[in-house]
Amino acid sequence: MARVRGGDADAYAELVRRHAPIARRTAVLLGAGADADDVVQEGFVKAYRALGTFRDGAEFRPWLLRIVANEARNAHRSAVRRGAREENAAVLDADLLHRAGDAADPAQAVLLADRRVGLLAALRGLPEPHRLVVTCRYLLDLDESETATVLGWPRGTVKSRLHRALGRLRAELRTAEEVTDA
Amino acid sequence: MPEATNSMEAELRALAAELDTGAPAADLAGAVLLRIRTEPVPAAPSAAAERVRRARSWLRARWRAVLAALVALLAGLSLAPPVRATVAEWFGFHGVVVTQQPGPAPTSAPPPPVGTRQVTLAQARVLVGFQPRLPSALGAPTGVEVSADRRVLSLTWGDDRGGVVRIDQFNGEVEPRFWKSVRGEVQFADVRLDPAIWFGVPHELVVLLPDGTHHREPSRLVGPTLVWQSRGLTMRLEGKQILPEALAIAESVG
Repeated sequence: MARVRGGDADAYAELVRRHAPIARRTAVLLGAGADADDVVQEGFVKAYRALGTFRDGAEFRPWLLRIVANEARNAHRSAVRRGAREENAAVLDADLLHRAGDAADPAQAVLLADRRVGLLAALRGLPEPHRLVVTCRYLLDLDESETATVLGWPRGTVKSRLHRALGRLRAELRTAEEVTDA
Repeated sequence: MPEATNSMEAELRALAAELDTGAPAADLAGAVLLRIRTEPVPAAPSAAAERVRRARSWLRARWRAVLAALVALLAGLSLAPPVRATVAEWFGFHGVVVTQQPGPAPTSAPPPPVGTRQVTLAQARVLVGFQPRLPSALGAPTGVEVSADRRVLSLTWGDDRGGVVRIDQFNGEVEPRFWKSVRGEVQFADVRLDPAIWFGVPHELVVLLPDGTHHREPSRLVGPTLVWQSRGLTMRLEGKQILPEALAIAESVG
């Protein structure tokens, strides 16, 4: 960070390369869709401009991801407004999960894929704060304090919303299973 | 039910392992460097800026409670005159909340961002749900933008000396939108008969979303700004360095 502030462009390029994969994952999972690459690029540019507000000793990753997450949500909102509606969700799920069929036993693979699609659908059905907190904690594998930074919530809020979100997911899946079994 | 929780967590982690979100663009670092090459080198935050930042993030997380306390305080004003002095540090202005911060003000600010012609005025009107109000002193805007949440309309004009004037308009009934931290003086003024506030020194501007949980973009340092209300809209004008020039434009808004 000292090198970036010293005007070393290569140092920032290094930061970009190091954090690009998680930034892209964040953008995709928070709904940037086809705009993910633009969102990531915009995120890194905005982060650079805002480096003056970055505290020495703070962690760069959650700070960056918060900017990317806000960009992704804005992109998602304007995409919805442009008419690219949520119908893409199913396509996206299939796309995201295209590796789930790699299991050795095809029947097993189908079952597993079904279960994953069901879980993703249940996740998508959660109210936004619950979906966000589960996405950050488990799909992006951020810890509690990183999640708090990315979402701009106090840590206690992260904890309580996560707890409630998991409860809802369990209830959703149980209902879905009962319907399938009947 | 800790077991159920654990199995749900395990399942989510397994799902995460299977989600393929693709690789970042190959030329990402190059593209970013190209865009920031003309930008000033970012400075480390000063101790004063750091205190302001802490205060701001505290406020951001708790602004509803702070506002509630403030309203309670204002309600109690007639009963408790000594509190007035404290409250004078704070005042709300239809969608704008001003806090006065101690410490020296930043000495300069970049010019306001230039809007792109993303939408026509007619489209903007549909998006924001109110009639855009134009200043006759400036003619047709060169940039028209609507914020992602469709609440703020931004009009910009480039003047012939290379300066930029920007007017943001939004419905005054919405929740506090622009949270300004002001160090130094604010001045009351009138735009025709409407009340106005002039921020004569550069200050930081943070845009709050209605859910109060986050702001739209990193805070931006803005130059002198005139904020006023007129027929249900709150308007803010940036780009003029002295109050009479800003007022001349504001008073020409139809």
